[in-house]
Amino acid sequence: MSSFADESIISDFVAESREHLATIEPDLLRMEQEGAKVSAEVINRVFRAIHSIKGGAGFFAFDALKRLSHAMEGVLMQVRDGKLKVAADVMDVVFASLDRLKAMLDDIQASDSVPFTQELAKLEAILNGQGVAVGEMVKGREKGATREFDLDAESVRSALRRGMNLFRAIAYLHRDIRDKGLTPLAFLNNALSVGTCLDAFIDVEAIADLEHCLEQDLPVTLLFASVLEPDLAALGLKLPVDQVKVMEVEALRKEVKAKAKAEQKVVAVVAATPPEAEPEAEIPGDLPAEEKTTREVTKDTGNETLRVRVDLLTNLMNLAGELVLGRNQLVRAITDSQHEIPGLGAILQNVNQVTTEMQEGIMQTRMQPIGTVFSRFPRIIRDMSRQLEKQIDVHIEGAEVELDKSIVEMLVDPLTHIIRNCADHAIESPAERQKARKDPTGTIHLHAFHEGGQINIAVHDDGRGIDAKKVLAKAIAKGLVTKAQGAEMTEREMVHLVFEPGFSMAEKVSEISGRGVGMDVVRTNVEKLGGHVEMETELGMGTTVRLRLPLTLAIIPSMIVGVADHRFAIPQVNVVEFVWVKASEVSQRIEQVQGALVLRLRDKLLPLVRLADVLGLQRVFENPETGEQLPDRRVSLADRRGELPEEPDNATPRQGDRRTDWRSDHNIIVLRVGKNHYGVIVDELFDIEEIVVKPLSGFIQGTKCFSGATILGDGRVIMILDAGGLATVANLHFTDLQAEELRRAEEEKRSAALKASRRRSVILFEAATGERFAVPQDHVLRLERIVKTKIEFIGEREYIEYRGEGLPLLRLDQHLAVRPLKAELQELFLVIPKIPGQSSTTRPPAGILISEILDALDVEVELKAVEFTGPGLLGSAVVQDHLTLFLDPVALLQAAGLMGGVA
Amino acid sequence: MAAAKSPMKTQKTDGTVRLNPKGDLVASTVETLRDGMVKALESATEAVVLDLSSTKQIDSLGITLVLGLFKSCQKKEITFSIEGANTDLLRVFKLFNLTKFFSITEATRE
Repeated sequence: MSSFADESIISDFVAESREHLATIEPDLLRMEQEGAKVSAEVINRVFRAIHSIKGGAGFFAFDALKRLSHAMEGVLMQVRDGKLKVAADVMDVVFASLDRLKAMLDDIQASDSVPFTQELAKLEAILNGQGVAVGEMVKGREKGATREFDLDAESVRSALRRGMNLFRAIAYLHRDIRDKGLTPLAFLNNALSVGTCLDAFIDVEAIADLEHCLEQDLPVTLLFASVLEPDLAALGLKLPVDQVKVMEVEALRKEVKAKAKAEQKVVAVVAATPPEAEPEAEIPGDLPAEEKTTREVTKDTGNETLRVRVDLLTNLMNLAGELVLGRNQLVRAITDSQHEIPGLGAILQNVNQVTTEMQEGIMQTRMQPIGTVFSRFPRIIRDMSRQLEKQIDVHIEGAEVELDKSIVEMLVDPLTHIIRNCADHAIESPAERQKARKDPTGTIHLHAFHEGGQINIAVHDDGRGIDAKKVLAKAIAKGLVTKAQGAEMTEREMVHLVFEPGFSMAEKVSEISGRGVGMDVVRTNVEKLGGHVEMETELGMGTTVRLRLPLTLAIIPSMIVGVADHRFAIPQVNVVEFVWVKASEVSQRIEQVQGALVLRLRDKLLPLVRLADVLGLQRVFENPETGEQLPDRRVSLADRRGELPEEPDNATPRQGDRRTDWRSDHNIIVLRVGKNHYGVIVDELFDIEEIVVKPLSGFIQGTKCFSGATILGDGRVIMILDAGGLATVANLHFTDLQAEELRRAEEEKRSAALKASRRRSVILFEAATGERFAVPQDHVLRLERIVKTKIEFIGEREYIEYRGEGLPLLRLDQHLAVRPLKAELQELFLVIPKIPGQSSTTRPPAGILISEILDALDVEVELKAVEFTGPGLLGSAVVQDHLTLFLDPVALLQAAGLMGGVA
Repeated sequence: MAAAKSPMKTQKTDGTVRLNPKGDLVASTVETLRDGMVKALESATEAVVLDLSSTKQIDSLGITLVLGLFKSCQKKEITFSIEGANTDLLRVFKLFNLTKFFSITEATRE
């Protein structure tokens, strides 16, 4: 065997052993949880897996691996035989040994250098009976046997795949073996020379006890696979034909299916030992984990499965991507001429469809169930709960939900982080939980499901929840937000502060009731995958962290945009909306805040970047007059020199002014980066296309702005923009803008209050021609029209009869430095002031004579002091383009000594 | 043939009886062994260990005897196990799937 072959066999062994280990862990956890009640099938599965590893290790002479797995096998055998109780201490040793096995398999050639003596010694102590101190020995465990075969889906499938028939063969120990001069070993060796023994059983109930056993001829039933036809198989097995029956494959399939579904507690079933001495093949029943079995059996029974290298699949997928691009190019190139060649249209359509189906099929091969990540958590939680002295259950739902392999791999870290936080911070100690009238055992629920073309993963705990106010206080203390910002926050926003970089980095998070350590890492990783993360919490009840992720990273719908003759793709998951800002609106909508461009979008400030600037491309614009492409040297869009001339609505746009020309309109794509949004100004927007993501070459991998490249239908290679990277390179400060927004909101609030204070309802009137006055409406009781001839005199004072009584009159020119009313006016008006605190039926003290009432209106004015002073004069302001004096009529009457009122 | 005097060494420690047949478990020895085993079993209260370190071969009757011994232990609710089985014996026991009834330990090599 060449060394290459050796290496490839060893790498197969390592791959298989890893799969075994992945199945062992959940089974061990189940053994620990269920204790004596655990089904023999579970124990046997673990036993077989370890046995396989040991066999391979022995074959390839990996001594450390062999010795450790041998000792583990010994302990498991004791458990299986009911000699050893599955106690937590014993499981600690087994789990620790399992970790060592993993470490050995991680670098198989250096496996002997992995320290394992401690674990080995502990295992041996258990095996040597000193284990009583560690694990309690049990006696008299009920052993039994089943009358049925232990059907192992994989070995049955494998036999059928190789075109073998399956037989149920009965051999009587005396009649068929001893009487034919055979030893059992010779009989079995002969049988194995004509086929494979998949399983065997002896009916334990049929065995007589010691005194009478020797008179008994016990039958052994074999499940035997052979390429021989039934009659030849009997001959080959040296058994009578009627003792060798062909098994119906369909019936077997049903049986396997039913068995996998039922999950019944089958007692003591061990897979048959097959022929060859190679330990790897010695025990075929290396059943995978429970879920996998169910899945495989229900989905795959009868279908073939094949182990394929991931790089091969990746390469296939790349080729499929190339094919898609090739197809796109082909379609584009010959679309115009397809009518010239008869039948070409149909061929194209066919190529199109097959390509799509093939690409989808290949994509499927890279899909992996999320369960491969979920499955590691029960162990982590088990170890943590022992360490933290907490009781925690893990529930997993939707482990079969499939995602692209690369996403599954990248989810390991964030999910582990979340789970560890759940166990460490969220779930309370049993005592605490009992105090809070909760079940002393906390629960962590992992749930994966499809929704809207995306994958959702929810991690829920029923722990103490997060105190939003404490999170906020901590964020303020750390300077992540200001007090003012905090005051505006909703509880949800406060809780989401745990995702801020730097939150809880410096202090022990346990001070905060909840999680928090490095949640920004979680968010960053999830966002890198084009997903996002959210958190919901209820104090005392628990917390849910939700991740939303795309199904695959290989083919993504993207927006194609153009800047200065270049095209770029923006993944649609990052796109929030498109905003079109007319050139003529730029000065109102785009401005500069602390040196950065911002767009006013629905009362929010949206930071803007010009894609050309971030990427260092020369901006161009089309000369409106000549249509020529010229370099755009404008520094800032908000940098407007001079106001735009006012133009009537029906005016034709001024030719040659870039500030109004439609070619200067701005296309802004609003992008999402986490909870922040920003706008990217591009020259052109094209279509949304499904693009095939190509990894970047090593030379440009360091650029933050791009996440990959792709090829368009026209063969053009374009870069895929990384929304997060662009924001970083453009040096966007979202927090500064939030502060600015807050400041503006404050300012608006203040000015609104001020406006409200300036707003008044007034009555506008004229005394002498051209002299305007205003009095607050709430100071006026009534306005009356009078005829001059009705005015009477008593001494110097004028009166008029008003509602049966004499009402004193007041002329403004007698108290203020204003002109008198014109003497020739025959019709005059009276302003009758309202005295505060008096009812409208009370007799008014006096009336003010004026020449004309002009208007009653609301005005917003800031009163200015007048050059002269006088009683009741509040100040002056311009109202309706005229200087107007504002009067307080009550103060005026007081000054005139009319408040006493004489009739 | 095998020593007729004592075909099996019996050792009792607490409730565990250790049976060590001094030869093969074959047609010619099984009956004598069976008698010895029946007797020894009476004093076993915890476990019976069949030590096959001196046994090279086993035939159909030998297997039947082992199964009979196991069955009687089961009835008495005591543990039964086999120790020191050589490769051939182990192979037979495994192929007949006897490992699912009781624990069988390989003879230590080296």
